Amino acid sequence: MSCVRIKRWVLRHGTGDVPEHWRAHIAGCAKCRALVDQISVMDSTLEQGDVPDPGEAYWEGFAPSVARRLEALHDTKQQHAVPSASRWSWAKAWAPAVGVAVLALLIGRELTREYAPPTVTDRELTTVATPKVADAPTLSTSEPAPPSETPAMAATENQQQAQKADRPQASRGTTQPANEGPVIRAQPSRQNDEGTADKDAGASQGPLVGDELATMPPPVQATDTDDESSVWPPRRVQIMGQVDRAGDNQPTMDAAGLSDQERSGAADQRFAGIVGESSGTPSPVARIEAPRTFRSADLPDSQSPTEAMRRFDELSELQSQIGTLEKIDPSDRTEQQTLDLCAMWYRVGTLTSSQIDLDQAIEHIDQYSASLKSAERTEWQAKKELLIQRRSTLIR
Amino acid sequence: MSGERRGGVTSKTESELIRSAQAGDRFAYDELVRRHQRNVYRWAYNIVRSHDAADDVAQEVFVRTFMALERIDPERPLGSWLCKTAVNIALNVLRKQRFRAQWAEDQATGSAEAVAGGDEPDAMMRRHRVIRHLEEAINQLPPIYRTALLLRTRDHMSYDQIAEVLGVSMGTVMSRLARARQRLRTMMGDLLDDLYE
Repeated sequence: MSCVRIKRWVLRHGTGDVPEHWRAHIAGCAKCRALVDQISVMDSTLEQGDVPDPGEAYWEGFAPSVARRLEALHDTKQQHAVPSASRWSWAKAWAPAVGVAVLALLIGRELTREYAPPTVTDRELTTVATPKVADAPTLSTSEPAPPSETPAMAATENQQQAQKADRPQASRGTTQPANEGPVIRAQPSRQNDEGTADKDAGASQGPLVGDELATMPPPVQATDTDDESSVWPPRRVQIMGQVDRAGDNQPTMDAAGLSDQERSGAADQRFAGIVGESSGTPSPVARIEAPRTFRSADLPDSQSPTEAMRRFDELSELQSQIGTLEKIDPSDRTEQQTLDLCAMWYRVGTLTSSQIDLDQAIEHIDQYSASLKSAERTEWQAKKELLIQRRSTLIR
Repeated sequence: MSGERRGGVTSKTESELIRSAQAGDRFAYDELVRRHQRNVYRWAYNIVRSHDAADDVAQEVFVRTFMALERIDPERPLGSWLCKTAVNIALNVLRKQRFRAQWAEDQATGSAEAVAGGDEPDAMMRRHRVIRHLEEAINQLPPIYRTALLLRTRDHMSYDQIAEVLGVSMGTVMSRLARARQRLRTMMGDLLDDLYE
C-alpha cells in the first residue's frame, strides 16, 4: 500500500520533499527507490534543459517586430467604433477617386461594348452582408447568379433570380445590367471544368466577378471588355482572390478565388489584386467604397487593421475549406479538387505573415501539383517559387 | 529604438513602465517587451516546440497585451499576465489540427533519428542522446501535460501559480504533473538509467 501512495505522491510532487515517514520505506524498497531515482533524474534534466536560443539578432529585432504589428493595429479600436451612420462619410471621402474610376470604366466599356454592362443599385449594396469570404453576397441587382454552392449565397441568388428579366444568363462571376455595378461574388461557387451553362452565357456578359467582398467600390459600371488590363475594376476592386473575367470562357472563381487565367500564371499581379488608393478601414458598406492597394508581398507590412481582420477571416475560411478537401482520400480526389487545393494553399501563402503557414503552403502546393498534368504542374511549381521568394522577404 | 530613448525607460520599474505605457508611452511598452521577451518566448516554445511558432506566439502575446493594457494592474507582476497569455495562445496554436499533425510528424521523424543513432562509445555522448530523447518525448506529451510539467520544473512555478496560468484547479495541476511524469517515464524506460552520473 505504501508503494502505491508513494508512487502517486512522487509523480505529483517530485522527489524534493518526500515525507519523512516514507523515506525509510523507500530506502528499503527497490521498486520505490527506482521510481524516486528515475523521477529525480528526469526532473533535474528537465530543469537544466532550455529552449534553443535564437540568437541576439533575433532578440534585437523582436521588439521592433512587435512595434510594427502594433503600428498596423493601432487604429483598430477607433476603426471598429465607427458607427454605422458614419459609413457614408467614408463614401464621401472616397467619392472623388471613385468617380474617376467610374468615368474610366464607362469610357472603356463604351469603347468596347459588346453587351449591356450590369450595374448595382444602392439598395443592393445595403443588403451586402458582412464581407466574409464565404458570406459575401453578390451585388448584382438584376443579373442572376448561377447556382451557388455556398448556402450563404442562396438568398442573394434568389434575389437575383427574381430580378432576372430578359437579361441573359449570367456566368458565375459576371454579368451586370447596363447601368448597374458589377457582380461581386465573395465566395464563388465551385465550378468544375464541365462548368455550367452560365459559364458560356457569362462569356457574353460583363466580364467581372469580384471575389471576396472585403472592400468594394461603390456602384460602378462593369466593363465588358476582354482586355485584361481594363477589366473592371481597373485597379479599383479589392478582391481577396481574383478578379475574374467570365468572358474568357473559363471557369470563374474556384474556391480560392482563382480563375484558370490565374492558374495559367499570367496574373499574379491580378491575384494579388488590388489597387486603389484607399487606406481606410471601412465598415462593410464603406469598404465597398474604399478600395485599397495591396500586394501580396507587402501585405504583412502595409495592411490596415481592418485589412488585417479581413485577411484573418479569409485565412480562417481557407483553412476550413482546405480541411474539407483534404479529408477526401487522394485516390478519390478529382483533378479540379486538387487544383482547388493548390489555389487555396497559394492564397494562404500570399495572405499569411507566418512563416509556418507559408512553409505549409509551399509544401502542399509541391505535393498536390505533383499529381497534376504537366502544364498545370509547371504553373503551380512557378507559383510555389513565388511563395518561396515571398518567404525570403517576409518581414517578421 | 535609439539609445537615448531606451536610456530613458530602462531605469524605470515595471510598475512605472506599465503606467507609462497605459498613458500612451510606446517606448515604455517597448521596454516592457524587451524585459519579458525571452521568458515569453520560452513559455511559448515549451508548448509549441518550434522557433517559428514560438516567435508567432510571442509576438501575438505582446500585441494582445498592448491591446489590453488598460486592464492590467500596474502593481501586479506583468510576468503572470504574460505567462498566462502565452500559454493560452500557444495551446490554441497547437489545437489547429493541420499544423499539429505536420509538427508531430516532423517531431516523430526527429525522434526516430535521434534514438536510432549509432554507437556512442562515449558516455557523455550517450547521455546527450538520451537527453535529446527526453526532449523529444516531452514533445510527444499532450500540450496540457507538457505545459504543467515545464512550468513546474523549468519555471519553478508553484501549484497555485500554474493553476492560475492554466485556469484550472490545483488538484488538476497535480494530476497533470503526475500523468506527465508517468508518461515520460514510460516513454524513456531504461534510457533514464543513462542519465545517472
